[in-house]
Amino acid sequence: MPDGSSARAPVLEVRGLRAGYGTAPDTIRDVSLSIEPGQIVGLVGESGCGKSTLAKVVLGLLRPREGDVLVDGRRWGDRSSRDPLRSCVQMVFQDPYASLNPKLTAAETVADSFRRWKGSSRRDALDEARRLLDRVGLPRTAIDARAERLSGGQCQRVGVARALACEPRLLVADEPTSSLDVSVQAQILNLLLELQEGMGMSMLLISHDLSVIRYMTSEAMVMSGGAVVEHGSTAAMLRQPRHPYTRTLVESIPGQVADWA
Amino acid sequence: MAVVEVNPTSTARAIGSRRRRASRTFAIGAGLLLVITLACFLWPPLSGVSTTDFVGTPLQAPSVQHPFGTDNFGRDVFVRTMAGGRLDLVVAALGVTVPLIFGTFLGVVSGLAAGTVLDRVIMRIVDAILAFPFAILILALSVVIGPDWNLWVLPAGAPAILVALFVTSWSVYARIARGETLSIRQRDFVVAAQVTGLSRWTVVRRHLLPNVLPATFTYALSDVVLVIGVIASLPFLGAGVQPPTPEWGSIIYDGRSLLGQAPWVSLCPGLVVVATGIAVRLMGQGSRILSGGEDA
Amino acid sequence: MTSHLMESENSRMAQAEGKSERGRLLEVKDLNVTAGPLELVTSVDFQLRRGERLGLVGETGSGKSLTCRAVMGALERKGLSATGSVTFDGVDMARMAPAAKRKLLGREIGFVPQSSLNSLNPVMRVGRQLAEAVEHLGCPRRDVDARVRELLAAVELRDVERVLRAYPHQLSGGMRQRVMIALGIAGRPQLLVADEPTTALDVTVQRRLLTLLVELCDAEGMALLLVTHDLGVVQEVCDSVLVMYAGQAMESGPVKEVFARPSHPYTRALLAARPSSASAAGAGARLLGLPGRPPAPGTWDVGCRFAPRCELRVDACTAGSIDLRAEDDGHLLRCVHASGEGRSRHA
Repeated sequence: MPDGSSARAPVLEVRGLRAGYGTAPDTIRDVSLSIEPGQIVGLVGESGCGKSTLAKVVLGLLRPREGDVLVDGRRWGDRSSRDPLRSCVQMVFQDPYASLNPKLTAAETVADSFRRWKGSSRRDALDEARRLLDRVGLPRTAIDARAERLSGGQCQRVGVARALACEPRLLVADEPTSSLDVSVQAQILNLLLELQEGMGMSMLLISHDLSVIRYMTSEAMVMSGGAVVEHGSTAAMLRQPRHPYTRTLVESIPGQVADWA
Repeated sequence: MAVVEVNPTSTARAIGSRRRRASRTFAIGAGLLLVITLACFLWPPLSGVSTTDFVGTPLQAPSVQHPFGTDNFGRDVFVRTMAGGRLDLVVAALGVTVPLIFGTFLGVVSGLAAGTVLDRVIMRIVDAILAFPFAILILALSVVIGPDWNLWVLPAGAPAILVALFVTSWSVYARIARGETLSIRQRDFVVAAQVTGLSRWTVVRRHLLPNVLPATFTYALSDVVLVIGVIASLPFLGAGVQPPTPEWGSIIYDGRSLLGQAPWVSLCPGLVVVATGIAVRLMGQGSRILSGGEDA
Repeated sequence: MTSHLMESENSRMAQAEGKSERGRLLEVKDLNVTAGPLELVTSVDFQLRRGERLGLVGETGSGKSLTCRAVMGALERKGLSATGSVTFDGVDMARMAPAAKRKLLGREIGFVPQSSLNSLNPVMRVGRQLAEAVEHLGCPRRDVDARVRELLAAVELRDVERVLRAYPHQLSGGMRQRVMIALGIAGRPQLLVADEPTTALDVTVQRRLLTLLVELCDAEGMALLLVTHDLGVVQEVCDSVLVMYAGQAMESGPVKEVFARPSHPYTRALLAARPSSASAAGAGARLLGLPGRPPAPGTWDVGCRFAPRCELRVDACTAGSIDLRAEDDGHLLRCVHASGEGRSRHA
């Protein structure tokens, strides 16, 4: 970082990233983006466009082939569980049921994060977990219930709490509401907004729902075929999509023709 | 893949009642097994009759005094059956638990190391063992190891059976555990555990094992039935636990020539074997539904 | 193409039409679904005219999928039972012999399930599965191949040769769902039942599939019963809508009316919870989430089932059962409030 002060430095900076897997080494090409502290950046694109690959690289689960990924000004080291960057980037998953271990209770799931990062004792971690789960709006009765008994929205709150317990600087939210009912989706989106405003949390929000992107972000990028095809202010992009793919996307929002509101 | 099948909440109750039925099935099986086990371990000492005592006229039909009647030496078949059951139950428990633990461990290791040489070596050994018909392999091995070898408190014949089981039956558990590990380790919650920085060992202990064990445990319950069957059939091949130690298989075997005049000598212990099998089977059935969760 | 199938179907249709009131295809009356002592769907009524498109919407667990399964008579296998009457084309389905009912499904009523991966045989080529289905529907063997290709063309699958030879997992989600639609319309049904046909697909793919569904319905004069949790989809595709909550119909009517003037507080809450509604309300506005979750079956109260989550709740809501009543504009509404009351709070 040029000025050396990590407070003003972007939380995430990706420059000229190329990454992929054995058989498809170029799943993403030449991707650059940066996320400022407290900013939510939207990432749109259809399945297979490289969104998840980008998320994996940002999370340190996949090594880039080319380019730089700087989290809080630092590069991923050995990407093991001991990497100090491990707590800086956390993730909220798409499928709320699959993202929780069915054999653990909500509190136990979150307590694991506390024990890992604060070295709390088992009992303290559970207490802290219960307080945090209460704060993210999980009903008291659900806090000590096994994950298999929770509803989709409740699971997603637990997922958010598990990430928060690590006190991350950046939250990668991969389609966090696409498998939830609209009423629940609104609750989860509002919860994420509260985190951003209240805690200054930065977020990379992956979604294929442009109305979610419009509601949540002021800056967004569109990926197609592994490359960023459009990047800029969300409002402008939705008003005047420049790339043909973005245009198709905008036209595809169901209920766009609505004038009821 | 994301959206849950059809309305989980409204079918949740139906699943709930299914689970309740399953746990009742499990409880009935466990209860029956407990009764048989208690009878096997408590009845012979409490009755004060030894397995070799001559308690009355030979070939008495079942009565209140001798519920299973007497055999051709005038020994109490019930006492012999119960005493023999101790051996069958202990050998079955050991013969299933040890391979269960060992096989699950190797399977999880193999699944975690999928694609490496270690994984390939383990799986080729498993393939080799599984290529033989299972029960026959155990029979053959225990015949080869020899029926005369006795070890620790185990009577002659029993160690051979155990070794045969240890050598072979871990393979099935390893294969099941490997498959489960492969599917579970790419589930989101395992990725999430890695992302939150939990160590590899914590991930295995807290996330992998609790989700792998139900599958292997359920198989273990069905394995118990198989093992008891194998032990009981060994005497017919001239192997197995050697006389004079009573054992379900040998009692049944000894009674085979009396089937015409005194069928109870074979039939009554046979019924106990069947009851044990049913008990374990019920537990297995209940456990399969309970561990399978929603979609079993 | 006029196949034998078509002719036999036409004669059946002619027979049926003599009996039924012209235009009314499906009539569901007082449908209840129970699992043992547990009530899952309570007294649902609706009807569908020929060529009409009806959307069943509601949150997870509202009973919308069960309702559509009951219509197809596909509940028994799941240990559930349905009471009430389902009249298809003038015939009471409950009185039909099982064989006749099986014949009806596929030929007169087509079905498109949600998960194409679970519904296709993973070890059989797509072409073979389509051919078997078509043959099963009575297509003469020599016409099977032509009919399969015709179907694939109808669902606008390009690259037909590749699709025919592919195994299901080799196709993308959107292509598989097109194959499912092809299977659904293979018997030229008069009614297509689609249970969340586009959920979990990308928006652009979803849009193309919905357009396709609408075009197919128009071209073949098919009626559509669409189950979805996405109000936007209903708005685009359907003529009328039935909003379900906790196993009951809360509001129903023409899509235009219901979306322009949602009357039930639940419908209004659902609409207000859509992210697109916040942007419409201006920058910085928060979405109005619906607190709490739907009550589980077995915990339903006598009065309004939505009352615990409703911000317009008054004593009358929980005093006794509330009937569906007709509003002036053709709506049906289950609420103690008049249709205009309290609307400003949400819209």
